Order: sequence, then structure tokens, then C-alpha cells
Amino acid sequence: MTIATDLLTQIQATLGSAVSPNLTTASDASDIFEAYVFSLIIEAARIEEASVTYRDVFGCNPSIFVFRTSPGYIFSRNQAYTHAVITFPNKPPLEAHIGVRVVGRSGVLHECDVAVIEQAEAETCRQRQVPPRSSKVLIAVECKFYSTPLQLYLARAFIGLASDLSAREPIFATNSYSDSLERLLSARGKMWEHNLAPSAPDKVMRLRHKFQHAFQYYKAT
Amino acid sequence: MNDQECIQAYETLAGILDQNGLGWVTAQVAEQIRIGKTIQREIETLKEARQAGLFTFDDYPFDDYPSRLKKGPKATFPVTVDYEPPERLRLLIDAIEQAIVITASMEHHLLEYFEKEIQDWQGIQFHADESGSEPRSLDKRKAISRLKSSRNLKELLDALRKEI
Repeated sequence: MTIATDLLTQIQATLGSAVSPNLTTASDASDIFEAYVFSLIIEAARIEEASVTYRDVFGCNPSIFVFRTSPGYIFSRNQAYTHAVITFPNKPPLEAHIGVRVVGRSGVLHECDVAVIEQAEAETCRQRQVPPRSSKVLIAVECKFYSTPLQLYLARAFIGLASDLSAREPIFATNSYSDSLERLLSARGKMWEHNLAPSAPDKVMRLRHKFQHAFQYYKAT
Repeated sequence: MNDQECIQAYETLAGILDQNGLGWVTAQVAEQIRIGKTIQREIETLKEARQAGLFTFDDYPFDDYPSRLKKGPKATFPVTVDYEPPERLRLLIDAIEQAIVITASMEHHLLEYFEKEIQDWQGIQFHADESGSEPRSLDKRKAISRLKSSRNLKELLDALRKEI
């Protein structure tokens, strides 16, 4: 038996116990990644001295966090989806959401994988059953989880999305990478972060700083 | 490992992934292989040789045009080339690491982080907006166990990379 064959046998024996039952489709991994980015936004808000609480669409404090697996409306009551309420001293509160639809400048609907929205707008939307306007979105993050290098069309789509969002800080965040994609996003002046993982603290810190910068700007204006 | 061994190892790993419900990983890698690898290639461009005096199209018949070109400045172009068998195997190993090892660490981070955030916190569910859909839950005890297994898996994947 060669070393490689032996390794493959060991991989076969180990892999099953390492696989999450939550990972049977590519979108399952994306859901985990979006929740991870959501947690980084909360960390950034706390570093910037915000107080953070958690609510669902019914106004309750959830003991189990429920996150969306597909884009939905902020006012949806089909599930008790969790959002974070972020409050900076002497500033109107904000809310962080996963997978909500927002209205772009053109009037069409887009999905924000993770978004920080003015709470007044979010409350209006819950009461009036409408999606938030992107002009009321402080941070919009497009999350891409791929097991392979990213394809260029994802950057093209993000550039299109960002051009229609009024959010100050649309950010492209991924666990993966792609030289071409990063070159295109940089050439178009878009913010991105790649190779995100808990095992890459430098990348995580850089993304968190982008969020912190957005909060710093919000506090100052 | 030679090319044939890399191809065999790739097939074995792809089979293991399929058995464990991770066909989507194999599919993403197969798609990447189909698209190929983008590299920057520097080439010498061609340019028209400068000729003294006026000339007409009759002086230079269309078919002779390439012969009138001379070496121009170098330029770099992106081109796509096929992945070699060792590169394909590396792609698959990297993909397994992303899909299993990285997600296990993210799950663990989430559960640890939010547990510290609020008292009596009980976990995370992922739920589709459609009524009647079943939620998927993250469980801390299982996540810790998976994290440990995923670290063992990473060591094995790193060892396999060294064999390529």
C-alpha cells in the first residue's frame, strides 16, 4: 500500500465524522458563511461601543436564532427570523439582518446577504409590508461561499448590484479567491475581502475594520 | 505521485465525497476544471513595418499582409489553460478543506460567539421562508465533535498535498 493510498483510506474513515448534516448542498455552506459574516458585523459594532440586542419579527428576544436560507422580506412572519438591534449612543438605532430584499435606486428588488439598515426604515417596512430602500442601508455585504476559486461573473454581478444600491459600503466577502475577480473589483473601486475563515485572522480583521469604518462614519454624521 | 496516480486519487476522493452527500463539492471542482486555469501570458505583439513613401493597396496584396509585420512590444494577456492532473487533485483537496474544515470552524465560531452574546441561548436554526419547510439546526456538542474530526481531516489533506 502506497502512502497516498493509505492517506485516502484514512480520509475516507475520517471524513464522515467531520461532515455536518447541514452541508448537503452548496447553499447550506453559504448559509453558514452568511451567519459568520453577520457575527463579524456584531463584533465590529461592539468594538465601536454599540450595545447589541437580538429581536425577531414579532419583537421577542429569541433564545434560538433563526436565519434565512433564501432571500426574503424583512416583514415576513412565516418564521421568527432573528435580527440584531445595534445602538450607538445618541444615534438612531440600526438593525443587522441576513438575506433580506431591498429596493435599489432603479426601483427593482435586490437581495442583501447581510445588511445593516436604519431601524426606523426596518420598522416602517415591518408595519407597511414593504422592503427597505437601499438608501437606508448602511452596510450591504454580498457573501459568496465556494469550495473552488471564484468565477468572474460573480464580480460582474456584484458590480451591477453595487451600482444600483445606495448603500455606502457594499462589500464583496468570500471564503474563496480569484485573481481575475479581485482585479476587476479593484479596478472598479469596489471593496472586497477574500479567504475569510476563522483560521485567517488577518483577513477577518480586515473585513471587521471595514465594518468598523462604516460604523465610525455613521457615529460621526 | 505521477499523473495516473493523481487521476486515481481524484476519482477516489470524488467517490468519498459523493458517498457523504457532498456531490456539490465535486460538481464545483468539475466546473472549475472545465473552465480551466487563467494565467497571464507575455507575448511579443506584431506591428506594421514602417515603409518610406506612399503605398497603395495594390503594392501589398491582402494575402501578403502578415509578411509585412515585424516584432512589436511585449504585452501580457490573460489566457485559459487546462489544469494538469496534479493541479486537479490539489483543487479537489482545497475544495474539501473549504467545504468541511472551514465550515466546521465557522459553525464552531458562531456557536461560541453567540453563546457568549446572550444568556440561555440555545442555538441556531436555518429556515427557508416557505411554510412547511424543515429547519436545519446547529448543535454545539456535535459542532465540537465535528471540529475535532475536521482538524484530523485537515492533517490528512495536508499530508496528501505533500505527496502530489
